[in-house]
Formats: sequence, C-alpha cells, structure tokens
Amino acid sequence: MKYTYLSLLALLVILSGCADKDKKGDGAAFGDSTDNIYDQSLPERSGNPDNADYETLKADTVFFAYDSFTIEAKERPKLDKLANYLSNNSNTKIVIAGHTDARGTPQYNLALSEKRANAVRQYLIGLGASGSNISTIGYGEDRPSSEGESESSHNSNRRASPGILR
Amino acid sequence: MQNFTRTLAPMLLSLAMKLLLPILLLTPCLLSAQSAAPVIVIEQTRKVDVAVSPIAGTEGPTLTKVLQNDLDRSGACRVVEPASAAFTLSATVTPTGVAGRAIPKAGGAPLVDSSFNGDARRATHQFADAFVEALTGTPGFAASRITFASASGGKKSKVKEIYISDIDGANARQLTQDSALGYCPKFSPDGNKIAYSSDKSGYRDTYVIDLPTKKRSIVAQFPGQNTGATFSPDGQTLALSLSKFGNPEICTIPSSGGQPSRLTNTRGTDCSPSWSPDGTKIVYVSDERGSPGLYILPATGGTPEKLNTESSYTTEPDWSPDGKKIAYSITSGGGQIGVYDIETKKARIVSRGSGLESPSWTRNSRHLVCSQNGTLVLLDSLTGEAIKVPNNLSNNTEPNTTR
Repeated sequence: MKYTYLSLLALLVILSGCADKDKKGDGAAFGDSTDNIYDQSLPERSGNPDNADYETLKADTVFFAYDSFTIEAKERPKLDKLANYLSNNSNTKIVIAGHTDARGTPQYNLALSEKRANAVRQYLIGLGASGSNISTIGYGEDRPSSEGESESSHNSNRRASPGILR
Repeated sequence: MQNFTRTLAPMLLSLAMKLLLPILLLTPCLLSAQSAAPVIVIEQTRKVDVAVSPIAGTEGPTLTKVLQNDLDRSGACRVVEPASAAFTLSATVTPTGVAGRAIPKAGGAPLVDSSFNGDARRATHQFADAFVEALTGTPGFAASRITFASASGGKKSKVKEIYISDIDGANARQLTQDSALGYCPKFSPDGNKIAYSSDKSGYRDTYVIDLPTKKRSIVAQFPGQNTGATFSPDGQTLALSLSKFGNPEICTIPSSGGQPSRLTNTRGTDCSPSWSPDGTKIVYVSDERGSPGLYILPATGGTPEKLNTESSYTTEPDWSPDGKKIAYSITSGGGQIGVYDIETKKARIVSRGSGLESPSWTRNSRHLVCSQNGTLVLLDSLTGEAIKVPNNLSNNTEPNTTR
C-alpha cells in the first residue's frame, strides 16, 4: 500500500517534470508544474449516482471550507478509512457526489462541486485506490443536506459524499 | 449607425431641435461613459415621448398594451398622451399580422410604415422593434424570447425543467419533462435550438433541443460533467465545461456532438464559456488564481488573459452582441451585475439591489435579462433599473435571450 503510494508520487514527479519542459520561459504562465496531478482521466461511467447507496459510507463524508476544494487535515482520516474499505472491497464501484452551499452561481457551483468530488477521488487514488472504481458527480447547490441560509446549513452542505453504485 | 444617419438625415432636418437632442442622447456610442472605479453609474438618459393610438378589433386592447409595454421597456421611449408625443404609433390587425405606422408630430414622412407578419402579438413586437431601431439605430428586442431553468416545484424537489417564453414573460411553456436537474439553457444563434445540461441519465450530460422538430439529441456524455454549453456565433461549435480529464476544463465540440478539443489546462475550476460575437475568443470563469474570476482565451486555444474587474468572485460572463462589453455576476457584493468594457479595460457595477445573477444581453447590447432571487428581470445597464419579466413560475434561474 505504502509502496504503491510512493511509486505514484514518483510517477507524478516525473510527469510534472515533463510538463515543465513543455512550458515556455514565462514562469508566471497559467498553471504550474503540478497540473498533471489533477489530470487523471475519469473512468467510463458505471451505475447511476441517483440510485447509489449514500448511507453505508455516510460517516466518510468530507466537508470543505467556503469556495475551497482542499481536503483539510481533519477530514483526511475519513479518506484513509474509505481507501481501506475500497481495498477490502476491490469489486465495489463508488461515486463521489460533490456539493456546494447555496452561495454563488449555478454553473460555478456545479464545477466546484465536481472539483470537490475529484479532489476526493485523487486523494483516494493517492492512497492506492483504483481510479477505475471511482466515479464523480457534482450537484452544485441543488441537493442540500440542510435547507436554509444559516452558517451551519452552509457548513453541512459543502461536502463530498461517497455512494456505493449498484 | 451610418445607415441610420443616411436614411434619416432628411427627416431629422425637418424636426425641431427638441427632438434631435433626445435622439442623439440615445445613440449608444455617446452613452458609454465609464467611471474609473466599479461604482454604480446612473445615466440620465433622455427618452423620446411617444403615444399609441388604440388598436381596433377584439385583440386591440391587448395589442395596444403590448405595444406600449414594449416601447416602455425599450429604454428609448416614454409612453405619453398623444398631445405631448413626438411620435404617434398606430397599428391595424391584418390577416397576415399587423400593419404599423409611426407618424412624427413635426410632420414629414412616417418613421415606420410597414407590415409585420406572424401572429398579431408577435407582429406587434416586431413593429415596436422596427420603431426603436429607426429611432436609435440599434435593434429593439421586443420580439426576442428567453429560455430559463425553473424549479417550480421548489428547491427541495431536486427538479429543474427548461422553459421558454417571450421576453415580456408571455407565452411561457415548459420544454422538458426530465424530472431531473436541468441547467444553463442557451439558444443557438438562429434561435431554433437550445443546448442545456441535465442529470436525467444520472450523470450531467449536454443535450440539444431542436425547437421546430421538438427533437432532442445528446451531444456530450463524457465521463464526469458536461455542462455550460454555448453555441459559437456560426452555430457549428459548442464551448462547454468537461471534467473527463479529471478537472473541469473549457473544451469545444461540434454542435452535433463529437470529440472534444481541450482549450484550458489548469488546476482551476474552468466553466461558463461565452463566445465573442466574431467567434475568435471565449471568455470563461476560472478559480486558477484564488476566487473565481474572468479570463479570455482564443477560441482555438492559447494563453488566457485575466480580466481585472476589480471585484472578487465574478462568474457567468456574457459577451455583448456588439462585442464591446462583457456582463457578469458579482457574488461578493451579495449578487450584483458588472459590465467590463473590452476597449477601456474598465469595469462598473450596473445594478442596484441584491440577489442578481446570470446576466444575458439582449440584442441592443444595453439591456440584460437576469435572475433576481428566483424572478426574471430586465435590467437596463445604463440606468440600473430592473423590471420584472412576469410569469407564473418560481425559482427561475439562468435566463438566456435570443439575439
């Protein structure tokens, strides 16, 4: 497990090195050498996220700060647990459903929620999970777990929930 | 504009100066004064006083109101009593539509004297547009339509369907029955097609509805999300946000579907593309450098340029039909609309109040249809005035106008 993680890191370093060579002199150019870390193609679709089981792994729901897709340190133990579950259930396909709070505009929130789902997916791959078993969907602000405009509603809505595809 | 001057010069000469002044003030090129800082600029635009003679027939009273309403909303006219009007408009319902005339009080040839075909309501809109164009040199938008998403069952229903209506709110009808979350409907340049995204399959795909045939086809169903599709000005290409690469990126595909060309390659969340009217550039949203902002890049790919709007958290750019401006949503201000001037590189806030988002230019490059707390409004970017686009639906979002 650890070995896989390290070799993946090594691969990423090599990949980002390659990307760097392609860049012309302007160091302040768009993006940077870490681009390729996020550039792992999604698997072909499987299952239907609408019918996924979001209850079994509910405790592993990851929460985010406002307008952020960074997985905070306090959330990481949940993903260690989830990666472990996936390695013990290697035939199980899951979907990560990303969500935002009600603030912001529809298209950006869709993209941000997708980005949150992807951040979780990448993190799980980094822990050795198979990317081909992890799909993503972003629901933006339109499937809140808590209605309302209070700060606590917003906090509980900025999330990425793992669901088991069936 | 040159055309306007040439065709109207003789008539204008015959008009008194009191008529000339408001007409000149209305010319859009004279109204583009920009402030240095993004503050609200209320332009005191002079309006031309017009009157509408009651239209005869059973539909007459309704059509009279339609015409008055169109003229009021045009931003170019104020409807007054005939005695004080500079122009009086009269219309007759004909078997094929409406015959309309606009007579100047000062005498001389009618400003408009034409027949407009179609159902009487639509023909009346076209008459209003012809008058506004003759008056200002800029096309009117009364005959335009809007498409939008509406969660009329409430947000909890997890259902947003796509609707279409006239730009005055009339003739609203539901286009989709997907029982899913539909987003971001956008007209094709000819107004005959609507691209939108929906998760009806479980994942968010992009569909195109052909309005004349009522047929729908799926044009993008790549892994991840396929959303925000916008037709190029020639109608041949769609720009959209795809996450198949593992990250939402701006891509283009043939408008009937096909393999994507990837335009962005960033760590950011790239979405909401909008084409320049000449089709050479795309403005889009990225949070590559922190909170979401606006970037322009060549439509064939290349180096993006960040726009300095002096606001943080700007999204939903829409390039104006005259190519000169980009309207956008400002979330940081509680929901306002900004306009960025391409040439001067200056931005300003053009709305009052809060809760405004999703601006879509009308064809005069002055008015914007927006959503404000779930209601559609027509915002005059010169005066900051917003008037409701009434319909019986709730939670209306992401309006888009025909051009």
